[in-house]
Amino acid sequence: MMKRTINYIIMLLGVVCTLSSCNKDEETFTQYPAPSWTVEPANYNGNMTAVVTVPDNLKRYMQSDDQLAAFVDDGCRGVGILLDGAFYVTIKGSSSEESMVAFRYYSSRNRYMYTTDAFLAFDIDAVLGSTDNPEVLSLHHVTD
Amino acid sequence: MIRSLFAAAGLISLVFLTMEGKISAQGNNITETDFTGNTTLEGKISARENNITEADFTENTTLEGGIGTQILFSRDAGVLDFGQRLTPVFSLAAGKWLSPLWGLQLRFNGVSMNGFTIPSAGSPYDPVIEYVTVRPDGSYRHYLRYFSTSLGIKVSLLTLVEGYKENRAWDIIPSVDAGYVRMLSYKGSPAGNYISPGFSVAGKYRISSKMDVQLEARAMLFPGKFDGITSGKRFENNLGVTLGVSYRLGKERFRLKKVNNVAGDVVNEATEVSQVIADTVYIENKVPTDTIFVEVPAKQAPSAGEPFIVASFLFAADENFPRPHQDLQYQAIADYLKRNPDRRIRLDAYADKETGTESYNATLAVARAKNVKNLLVSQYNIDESKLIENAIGVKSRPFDKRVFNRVVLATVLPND
Repeated sequence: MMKRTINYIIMLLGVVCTLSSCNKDEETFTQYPAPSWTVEPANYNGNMTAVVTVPDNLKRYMQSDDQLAAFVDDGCRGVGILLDGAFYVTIKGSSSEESMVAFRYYSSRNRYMYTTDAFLAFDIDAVLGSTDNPEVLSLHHVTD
Repeated sequence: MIRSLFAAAGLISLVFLTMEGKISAQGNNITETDFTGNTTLEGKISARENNITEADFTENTTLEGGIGTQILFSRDAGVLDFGQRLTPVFSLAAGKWLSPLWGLQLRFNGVSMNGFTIPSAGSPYDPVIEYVTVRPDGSYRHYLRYFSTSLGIKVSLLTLVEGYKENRAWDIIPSVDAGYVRMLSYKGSPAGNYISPGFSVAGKYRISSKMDVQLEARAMLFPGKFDGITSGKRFENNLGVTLGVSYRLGKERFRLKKVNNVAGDVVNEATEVSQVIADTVYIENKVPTDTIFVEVPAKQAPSAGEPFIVASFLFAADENFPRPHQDLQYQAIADYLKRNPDRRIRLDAYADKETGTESYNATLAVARAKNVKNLLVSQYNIDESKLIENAIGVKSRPFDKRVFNRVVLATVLPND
């Protein structure tokens, strides 16, 4: 009786382990269609500049049709131009406002949308990053 | 590299052979073929009693098959969920036990592993990303397919610890192996050929005379670049756990057998016994190392009226036949009685009381005295009336050291 019970337990363990290891479904992650970000420059009387790039782990997936834009809340304040692995963004704003700017990045290869926290205080004529040393953004994958 | 592996395997084999010899010599409950090729006394008797004939190739041969799961331990794979790191594995093996202690095993196994890559700055282009889902953090999984063939040495751990037992229900069998791994081109991972060492531990449980259930954990080492990605580590390893069965093709039978002589049976072996002792002691100049040297007043004049010990015969535990290489003791008795034909000798047989009940040891002592007497009569032509059997068993202990009491002391009696 003992022998039979041990055999059943061992075989059950084997079946469970084998079946679990055969589950090879690919993971799925939230994807987005390519965005169409635009700015209404007439609404703002000043601007600042940001030279930013993506973290190292995402650089190998960068393509020429990737997009990056600056936002205050949900309003687009600037669309970046990709040049030599860095985005050059002119951020529009008003001289009187004290807004915090966030960035959104769209990876066209993987169709993933990323965003940053609103970490940058708008300051007319200020410059974030440089051509030689672009600011590396801390990006979070957008899942909703 | 290959030469080194074979050299290591050879060295390990020698170690096991030596260990096996020591086990036999220490345990003394099994017999062996000595290293010079001459069969020892117990070996001849055992072989005859057990009717061992020519070896059948299927003897001690097993076929094993198992399926299970395995997990890859690499620099990056740790970020995957545990379930995602598990992949199926199968294993087929043919094994041959060359002794109760060790054997060889030829193994064929595969089939898949999950690798993982977290790209960093300057990472080269990896074609794998064209076939797999890239995660939002840029990492991605490798789907690796491989087959491996290896040859290894396995050891019966319980035999090593407890000695050989026939039909043992459980056993733990560690093994080391080295072999060839063929990585297949699959989902962007490149094909490749590698040498891979492995180590495994198997737990076996006997469910019938022919079959065991076996649970085995096996680790393999791969070169760091085996998946096409230079990980920065020299080796990466995986661990596979398989559950399977082991089928014995033929009987489990070794030349190492326990001797279970009964008193009196050895008489018919006496002629052969004498020949073997002469071969192993005089011709090969073997020096007996296990003889008790007792200060015996052999040169005293028997007319002193005091009994004295003229020889001693040592026994292994639970054995009633004297250990080999004690022919000088027999000869001492023969010489003494030749010079003193009017004397008689009493064979006081003792037993080691720690290893049996009093009644069992008494029976054992009777058999020991009888066997020594039979050998003296048949091999040294001593008059049977000159020898007196005296089974003492555990009623007294002539020596403090336990093993020394597995003995028959030949005591010369004074004249009446």
